[in-house]
Amino acid sequence: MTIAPAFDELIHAPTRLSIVALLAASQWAEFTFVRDSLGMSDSALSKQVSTLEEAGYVTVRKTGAGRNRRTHIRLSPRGRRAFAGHAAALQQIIADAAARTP
Amino acid sequence: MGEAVMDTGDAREGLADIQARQAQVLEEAARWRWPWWYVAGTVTLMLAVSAALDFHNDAALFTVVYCCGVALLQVPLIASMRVRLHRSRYTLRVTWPLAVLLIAVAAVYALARLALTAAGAPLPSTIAGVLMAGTYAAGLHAAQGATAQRLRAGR
Repeated sequence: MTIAPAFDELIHAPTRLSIVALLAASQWAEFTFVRDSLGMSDSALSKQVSTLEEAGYVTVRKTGAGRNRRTHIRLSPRGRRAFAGHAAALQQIIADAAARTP
Repeated sequence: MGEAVMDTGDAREGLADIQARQAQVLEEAARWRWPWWYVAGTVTLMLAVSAALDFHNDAALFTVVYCCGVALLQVPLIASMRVRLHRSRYTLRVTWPLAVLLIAVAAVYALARLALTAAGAPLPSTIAGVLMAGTYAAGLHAAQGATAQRLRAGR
């Protein structure tokens, strides 16, 4: 199946692109893994995840209680499609620029 | 910022970031190792079921008990992971060393039990179970290392 290029402004914001790219390679990722991988604070990551969740791009699942509380984040099918379209759009921009270069 | 006004530098940076993040996920998944309690739990199950088969010849029942035990161990195992790779990464092309180990473990038990029974050894299933559990524990590290190597190579 070919992915139609579709530039997505919500995903393209630098931090959100990194979050979505991490999640796209995984079935799910723990909140702390995403936080540590991107070197972000809990609050900064929470804010970006909330934005993605409101757009329907990610789902958040909390398990356990107290010290064993864990938060798992996963890309929704909609988010996965948006990410694939966005990555295709980036590739197309580069390909178009290369084609224009004499 | 729209596509029309975006320059190629931004697009290249975006794609490079995507590749770097995906490599981070693969590295985390490849570095993960089975926790000791999972290996110990599986070995204990193997030994317990093998020993039980020497006293009650109900292979179907003990196979179900073994499968239920392994399934129960999956719950804390998954909870111990920080990231789980997308299904498309876990193809047989990557995981075949683990598949080979599981087949080898079953073959060791079956062959050892047959040979021990034929030789008239006492508690053939228990002894075959010890050999099976030993093969599993010894081969696990090598199989997991090979799988991790294949995950990294398929990047």
